[in-house]
Amino acid sequence: MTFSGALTLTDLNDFITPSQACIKPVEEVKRPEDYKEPGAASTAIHVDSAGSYYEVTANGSLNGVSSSRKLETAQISLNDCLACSGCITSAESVLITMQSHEEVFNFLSTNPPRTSPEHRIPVLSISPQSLASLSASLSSSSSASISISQVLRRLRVICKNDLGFTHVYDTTFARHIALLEHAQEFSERRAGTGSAENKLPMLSSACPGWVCYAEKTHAEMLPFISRSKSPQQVMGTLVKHWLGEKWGKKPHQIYHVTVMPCYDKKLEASRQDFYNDLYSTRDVDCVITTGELELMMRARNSDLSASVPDEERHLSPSEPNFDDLPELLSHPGSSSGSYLQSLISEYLTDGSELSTRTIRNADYEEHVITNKSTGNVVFKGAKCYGFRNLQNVVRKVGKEAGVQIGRGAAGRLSSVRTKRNMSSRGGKNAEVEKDKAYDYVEVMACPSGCVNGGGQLKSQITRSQNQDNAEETSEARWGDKEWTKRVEEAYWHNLPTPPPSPSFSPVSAETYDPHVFANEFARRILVDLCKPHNGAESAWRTRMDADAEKMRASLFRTQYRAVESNVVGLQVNW
Amino acid sequence: MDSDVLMDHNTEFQLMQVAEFSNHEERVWHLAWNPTRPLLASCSSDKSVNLYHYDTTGKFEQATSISTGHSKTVRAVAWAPSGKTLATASFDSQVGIWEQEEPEEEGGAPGEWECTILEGHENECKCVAYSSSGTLLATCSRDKTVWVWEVQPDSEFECVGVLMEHTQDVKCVAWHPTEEILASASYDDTIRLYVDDPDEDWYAFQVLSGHESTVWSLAFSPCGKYLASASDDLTIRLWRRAAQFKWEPIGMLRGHDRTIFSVSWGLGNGDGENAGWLASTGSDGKINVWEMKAPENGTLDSKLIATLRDAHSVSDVNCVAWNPRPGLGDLLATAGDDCSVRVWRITGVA
Amino acid sequence: MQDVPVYNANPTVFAPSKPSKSSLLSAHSLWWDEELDVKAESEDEEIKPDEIFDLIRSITDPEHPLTLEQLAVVSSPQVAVSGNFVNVEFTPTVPHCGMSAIIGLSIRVRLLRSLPNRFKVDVRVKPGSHNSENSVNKQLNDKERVAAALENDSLIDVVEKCLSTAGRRGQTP
Repeated sequence: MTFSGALTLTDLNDFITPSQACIKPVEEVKRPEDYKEPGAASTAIHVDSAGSYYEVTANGSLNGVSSSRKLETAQISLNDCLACSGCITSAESVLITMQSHEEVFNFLSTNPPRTSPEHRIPVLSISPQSLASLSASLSSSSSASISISQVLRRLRVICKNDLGFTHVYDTTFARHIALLEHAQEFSERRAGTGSAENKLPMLSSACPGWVCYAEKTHAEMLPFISRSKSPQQVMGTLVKHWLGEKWGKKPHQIYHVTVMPCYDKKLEASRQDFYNDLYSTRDVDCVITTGELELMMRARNSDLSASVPDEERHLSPSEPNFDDLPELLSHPGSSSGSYLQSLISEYLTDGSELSTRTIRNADYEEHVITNKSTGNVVFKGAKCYGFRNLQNVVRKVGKEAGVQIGRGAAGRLSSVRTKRNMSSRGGKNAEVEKDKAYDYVEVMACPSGCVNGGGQLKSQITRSQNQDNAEETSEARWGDKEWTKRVEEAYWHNLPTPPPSPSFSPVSAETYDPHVFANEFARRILVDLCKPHNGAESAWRTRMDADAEKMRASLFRTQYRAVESNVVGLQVNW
Repeated sequence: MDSDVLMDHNTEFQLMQVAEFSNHEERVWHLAWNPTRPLLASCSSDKSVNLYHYDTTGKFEQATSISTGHSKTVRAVAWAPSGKTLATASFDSQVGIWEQEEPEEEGGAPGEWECTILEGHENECKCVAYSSSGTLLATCSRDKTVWVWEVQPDSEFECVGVLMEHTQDVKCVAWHPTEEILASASYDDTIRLYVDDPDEDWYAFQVLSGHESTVWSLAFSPCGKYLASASDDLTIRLWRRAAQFKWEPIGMLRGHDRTIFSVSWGLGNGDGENAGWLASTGSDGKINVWEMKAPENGTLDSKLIATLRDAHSVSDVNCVAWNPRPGLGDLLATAGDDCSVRVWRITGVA
Repeated sequence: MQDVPVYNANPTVFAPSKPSKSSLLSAHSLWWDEELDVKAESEDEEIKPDEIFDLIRSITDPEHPLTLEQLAVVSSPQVAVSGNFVNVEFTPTVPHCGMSAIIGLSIRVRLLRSLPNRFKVDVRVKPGSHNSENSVNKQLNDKERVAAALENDSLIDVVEKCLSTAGRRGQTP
């Protein structure tokens, strides 16, 4: 099989790009003798053959002997990126060096043996979108299509045997929990039982590109963004806390790597909120992209196209097994996490009907649930992908909620008669009624969502070479769209657990229903981690006692903060 | 076709000044003739937009001044094809959409100019342009992006495209005169052309390279077959549409000795092979007018028919614009660093 | 408040030359400082490179309490005047100097404010003296970028600070 070429910096195409050169200032420790005598300074900076900078005292030093001092190289961490308003999202080169497959190799090669108390258990969790990308890539160079469950089984063998991981999971069960928590948060917001800040519409938070963009340029959107952790960070909680405890390990004794379709997931994992001060460790230690995982396998000469024993074995166990996390749970809806669909299935009842409207293309869809007898809108949600649609959501939500959009825009046009939307809509009450505000929006920064993430494998569709410039461009575009479609197909193809309708209802069925099983599993985890007073009575969608709720919030929710523009004059890009 | 015009020629036409306005307090950046009404708009670093009215005898007077409320320079203005809406692009990163209130009673005085704000650009917005149908609006910025907005009823706008093709500051956006083809010019020395894929998004179908420095201004020919681009490399380049999605270079004009800031392609006087008049201006303070001809053999011929030095005394001239209204194609307006707006008529030398 | 990177912590300092003769002679020089009106009598008067140099020599470096002349960033031979065209070349103290754009901007603003508007000024870094020579030159001579920079409050603060000493014109305070 042929994988795509290695990802290089220029291949990155996360859809919100850094807009400026990095302006992170370097802290300079001034020594007392500096500037003692203005006009007397007499050093120069020299660069040696290795590219290191040296400050050289040519003459005039006290003893008259020339000396040199190596200057420190500036270091920029991902946390600096998050705290800086210089560019909209990540400085790509920083992401590459701080969280990379080389970093993972580096860890694995220096990890002390299992017998050592210093040993950290290497765990790898892979997203279903990454599996779909690998599956599409494998299938394009093979006669038979390779399903994502086959890919997972093969990866498990490779990651354990060739790369040295102890455990390999997929992140769909973490997503199941994220969806439960997300639905719980939505019902809190809808009922007004959350904090005053918790407003509707609720906007999804699983896309770190979107979260980062909102924090830097649309602080007014932050109260609307779901506080529930993304599947990656829920997985971090499960691995470092719940599984760790089962293994008798503290969080810092586990090294957790996730494989994601997106570079910005590296930024997410680096957020201060996901750093454990007590153990000086992160819930996810290192994030690599699908492309980087492919590079790692290539570096170890691993062959993902070779089948492994039992790879087509049916996944559902004969009897529920609560020792290992459920795998490859499917959540119908979108290939970006099905956040909207999970809420729709909650509010869609026999007495109501769902209508779907595509606005322009599949990246912007409105879903409305109406009560069949009264005609009232029960729920109005939208799925909105890509930077362009994201702008419209920001505009629409800002207008509907009556918040001023843009940074510091309030009062900017006070001297002018600013046209109010209300005036032009006066007398059209019927339309206003119909034009109900959104309750929920599933927001993703990439067009086509996560299957088309910037960290995915490149298109395997070969492009015809001998065409003129213009046609070649549209050909390339077509190829990429077509490729995304194939990844999307791989994502849904031959799923081991096709659920007719997802239900978050209590365990009741005698037959194995993966969602029912997952709910029960999630309940046990919640009880284990939050230790509610009423113990086993608790379920994910019930409210527990205050202490347990506090624990739930700390384990499964997070927070956002606006990044203030604090660029000093010398750093201004102009 | 490399017309080297470094000296004044004995030209067939001359530019006669018909009006001068010095009501702006700072540098005037840009101009826009209303396509349906006798109005000319100018914008300035003084954050205001001035409107000038003219009558059938060619008498110009200032009609009004709008204090836009933009917190920084108003860099560009554009009228919608209907002539009812005016758009402003400002260094404060915002785009203003201006409409005049209907008169209180029929025949009464029109009301105040009201504004809808479009936000999204990260920093200085450099240019704004309406498509020929008036249903689309394009904006560009130093943030390297070009945005396409759909104009909806009731002053609603929906963003239909964010194009991140340029690697630098985008200086200018221009729409094809009849089709929904968008062009943008940049500090990265390139021009990019975009169309809408009806099922998908806006995308760039071609990059026009050749300029050796910043491309400041773009003008499609009124027939839509040609595009002119003006650059800091002191050339105006001419591009021809060779196929539906293919443009190719067909010529270069020289005639300025400092940065060329603006080009405008007017209807001209309607001769047989006439492809209109192309006017250019820039930091050298000169206005050049070329007569463009497109004979049957497929070439594009150009002839310098008028040139005027020191059009705004010693100052840079930032913008030149032909009046687009029928029968008024001999009127040209310019805006300069001397805070003035001037209107010129091109006339044959007797 | 962020700390500021220092691109050249300990630069070489040069002794300032004497104020140019012309500026000493004409205490009421038309370009003594920008507050003075530039009158029509100057319209056709030739300006000498030394006079331009006098206008910019005492601009303070953005990161050192030293003038551009003391750092040898500007010098009289690096100013050329031809009719209404003024060309100023400056030499960054180190080739990777991140302050070059600010220094060039300060020079440009100083000349914008003090020269009659008939002058067209080009500001460039000395060829071969900076790693990103072309991009610095391009930015400094893009009037739109310069105009926008002057509307940026935090940037103009820095420029004003650099220019606060420009009126000394080589004299000690």
